[in-house]
Amino acid sequence: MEKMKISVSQFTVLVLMYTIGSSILVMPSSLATIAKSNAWIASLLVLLIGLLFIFMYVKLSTVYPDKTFIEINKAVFGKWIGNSLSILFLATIFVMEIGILKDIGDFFTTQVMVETPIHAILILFLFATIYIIRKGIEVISRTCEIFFPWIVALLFILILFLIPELELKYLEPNLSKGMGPIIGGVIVHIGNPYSQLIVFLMILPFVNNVSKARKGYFMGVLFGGLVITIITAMCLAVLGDDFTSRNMYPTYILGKKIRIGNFLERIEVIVAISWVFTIFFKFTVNFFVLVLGITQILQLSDYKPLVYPLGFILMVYSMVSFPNTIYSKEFLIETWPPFALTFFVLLPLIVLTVAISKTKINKKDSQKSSSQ
Amino acid sequence: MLDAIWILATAFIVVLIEKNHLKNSWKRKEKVTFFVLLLFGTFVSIAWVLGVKLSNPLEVIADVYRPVSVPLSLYLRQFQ
Repeated sequence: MEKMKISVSQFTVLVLMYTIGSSILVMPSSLATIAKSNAWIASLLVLLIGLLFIFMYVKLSTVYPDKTFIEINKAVFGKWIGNSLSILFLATIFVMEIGILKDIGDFFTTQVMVETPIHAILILFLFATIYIIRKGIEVISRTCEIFFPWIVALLFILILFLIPELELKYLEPNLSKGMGPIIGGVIVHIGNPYSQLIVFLMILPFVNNVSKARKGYFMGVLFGGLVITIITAMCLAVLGDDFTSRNMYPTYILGKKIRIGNFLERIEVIVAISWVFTIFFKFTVNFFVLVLGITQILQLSDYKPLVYPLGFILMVYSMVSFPNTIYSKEFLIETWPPFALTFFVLLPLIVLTVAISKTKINKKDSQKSSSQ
Repeated sequence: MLDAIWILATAFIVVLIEKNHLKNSWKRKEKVTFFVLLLFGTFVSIAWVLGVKLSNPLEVIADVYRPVSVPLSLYLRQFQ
């Protein structure tokens, strides 16, 4: 397991894909519900706050460059407290993971393959994920590198063909309710997607040049966030804020709006293809991190024993935990932001503070002992 | 009922796939983890296809975070 190494560019692309992930399809709608025509401003603000989170994660990785987050917890708090914090952290990732799986199923059963039962889609998706995870993080990142140009091309086609449909008057900021709606939109998206990028603290030690990878971390998040912001602005400018907020998947509707000379129409499936690729990598990275985290807590020599059984558990709990769309949407808006804030932002902040003070105390001690 | 048999068959196939690892590379700890998790997964899946009402872990989280989530949703609702 120690032999796995990925390059800086692969890591950057992985971060970018993870950031775009599921948000590209869902985020415009939930932002527009609250922030209305200011959704694109809210999206930019979330990106800025997200970059602050990334700064914190990067700082944490500079204190312990060759340790994953689980190992950092153990080194900072000792075996028992550290491991119990890590278990809570992994539980949060588990909740996120079943949410993503349910998202995939919901999208396919409502938009693309309406008559197929949801299990069939989830099982096929899990098969692909389990296969790629058993091959290791190197294969995940190389696959990501191969599919990256496809995503770029498809999104570029989407944006390019929609330019004739743009109506810029929908983008004018409307502050009649003050800054409240924008702040509300930002609060809802604190837990999704930028704070979820903490999972890369578990993958950062596998990169062959960690100091360069930190820059890649920032670049990936920045470009991913810009793509999300552009797509949100496109949704607003083409569909208007009301239509955007009433749709579950406004980006998919955006694809249906493409119409070039009565000839090139109904190419919305390019949105679905690019979304499936990005969410596949988000799901895979989360799965890998979950498996790796459990391996490190239990101190196993191999992570493969966990992969198949976890597939069973994920499958069942994605169906049990999110019985319907209303429930999952309510959970995402009301409970997920404070939940993610506790374990993805506050927990690393506490770990960082304790870690920095610990290294300072150690330095003082060593200086004292050397001067005596 | 047939679904339950399918799940058992899948679990058996998983054991067959991991046969080489089970025989050669994994030590006792890995084997125990594998079988405990696989048993739990199979058990939960069979309970689910037979229509047993499994407890939803998200309910616990929602209960714990209710003091925060209720004011948050009230705050957000005024903009919707």
